[in-house]
Amino acid sequence: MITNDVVLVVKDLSIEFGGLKAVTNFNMEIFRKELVGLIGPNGAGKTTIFNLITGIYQPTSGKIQLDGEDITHVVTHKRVKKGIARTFQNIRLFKQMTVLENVKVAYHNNMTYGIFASIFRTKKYWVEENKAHQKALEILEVLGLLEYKDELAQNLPYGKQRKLEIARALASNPKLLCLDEPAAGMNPHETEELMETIKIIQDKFQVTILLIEHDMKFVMGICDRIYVLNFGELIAKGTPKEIQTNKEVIKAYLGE
Amino acid sequence: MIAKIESNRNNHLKPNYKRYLLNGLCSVLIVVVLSLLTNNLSLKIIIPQIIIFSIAALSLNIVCGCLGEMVLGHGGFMLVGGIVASYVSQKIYQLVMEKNNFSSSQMREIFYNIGNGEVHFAGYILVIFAVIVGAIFTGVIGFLIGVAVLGRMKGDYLAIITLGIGLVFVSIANNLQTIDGFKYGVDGPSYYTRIAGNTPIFASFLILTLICFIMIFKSRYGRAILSIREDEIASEASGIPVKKYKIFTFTLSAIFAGLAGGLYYHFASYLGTSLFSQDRSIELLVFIVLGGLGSFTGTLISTALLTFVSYKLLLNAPGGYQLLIYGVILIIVMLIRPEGLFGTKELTWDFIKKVFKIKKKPKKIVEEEIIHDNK
Repeated sequence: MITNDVVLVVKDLSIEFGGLKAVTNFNMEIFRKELVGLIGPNGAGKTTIFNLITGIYQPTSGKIQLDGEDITHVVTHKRVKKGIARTFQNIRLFKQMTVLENVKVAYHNNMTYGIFASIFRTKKYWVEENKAHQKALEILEVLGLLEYKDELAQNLPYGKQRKLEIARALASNPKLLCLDEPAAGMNPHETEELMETIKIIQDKFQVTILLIEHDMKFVMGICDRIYVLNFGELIAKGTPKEIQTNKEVIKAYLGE
Repeated sequence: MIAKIESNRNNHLKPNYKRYLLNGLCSVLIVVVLSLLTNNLSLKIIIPQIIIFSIAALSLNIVCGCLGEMVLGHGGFMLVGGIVASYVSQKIYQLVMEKNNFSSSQMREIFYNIGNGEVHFAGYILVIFAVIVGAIFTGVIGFLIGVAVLGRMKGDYLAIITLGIGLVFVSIANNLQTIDGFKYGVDGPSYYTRIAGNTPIFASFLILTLICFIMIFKSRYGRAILSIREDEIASEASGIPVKKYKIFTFTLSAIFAGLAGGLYYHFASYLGTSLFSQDRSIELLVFIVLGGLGSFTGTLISTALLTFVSYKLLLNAPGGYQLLIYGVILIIVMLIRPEGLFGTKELTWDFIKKVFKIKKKPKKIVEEEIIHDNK
């Protein structure tokens, strides 16, 4: 699966919060259609790196490149347009909107009709809305949420809500999909189902995936490569097998 | 299951012309009924007010209900729209008069007759033009304020800022009393450009407002704005330019508040600053909270209800107690139904069908037959 086509390059990325160094000189390269895991003990700076990649934080120093283009100072919603989508650790759905609408919101940037087109319901409106509708249905179908399409998002069971987050992220046509603890709070059965789903998504939508996860079985079973963080620094990277035997990693997780 | 998916796939979104026609006919019917009702003097006063405050409440609802930001100075925007519209219509009236050397009685023949309240075609055009100019001007003001404020502030802080903005507008209007020599205040205007109780004009503006809002909120713009209300961070992370849409909504709201203000001026020929003070802003807020934040039809119904009740109380309740009764009604409604009459739901044809359980039966029979045949 791994090609030499680099999607995301992170160079010497650092961020400080008032003297506290959350991430120091972090380097990462992600290749197209790869599935990369980012692991580390609590407070290691994993979510901070996600927030840096998606533009919620601005780094103190360092560079982020997407497809060779420098996006270090691009704001979040424009990064989404360029192809970075994410989910959240604590579920952040649009609760009072239906499942279908949740997905359609993220399709926003793929539509171009203007305000007058929406008032007068021009042909362009119907063409683009239909496209969005079909695309949203397609995504929901892949994730097994089609039968819930008219439910309010808040009424879905927990596992489905997590899947809906992924569906919403997919709707923006991302090159890079960042999943922040997609299996958090799921039981073993649901986790296994999620692993299947993620593989199907990667195949079907041709996305590169970067994920944070605590469930080691999940990470080792699904990722092509793994980056390990501790105290904001990269301590190891490699294939799951290499990571499992890496002394630094074992030390970070289990102590001396 | 597979069949279900297939049917979903073929489920194309299409313009529902039948529904458009039905809604159009209903609107025309409502306008006709409203204009027939105005033979009664008290209704002639109350119906235009209901319509004007509906427009104002709807415009407030798109910010408070749909975008999820509290605005406490909405009356101020109405005042701006009203003053600009009053200036425009009076200025044009004067220009026409001076250019053609018309006497005031000739002018009354062309535009508006104070004596019998007759409005001529040119009078309507003048008022509509003035009102639209006022609305656009208010929109510009709203846009500028939005650009200055919305990126930095939200929640309680934004509410306080809008409160301040409302106070500033009211204070300016209080101190001006004339604009470029044209009066708009308690002393009566310099020139009468009224359309007073001509309900169809007001009603058409309300329908126009409704069409604009419904169409916008059933498009990608509406979804984006609602998503900001639900979760700003997730919205931004889904590719919605949050700040841009906040400014957009704020501007849209200001435009229609200005429209309402302009209409009010041409209804009453007078803009009392006390009419658009904080009391008005709070009352508009009460309308939308009672109707349901985010529900357009709820806003319409609660505005009509409360305006009517407060007007009747003003006439019939023992002196000084009308506000008390009004307040008690509000408290009771809020205790029983805190999400407002409609919540975020809308009174649509589908909703009515659901309530009365009108279903299409023929289709089901066909399916059963197919199953039977297979057996």
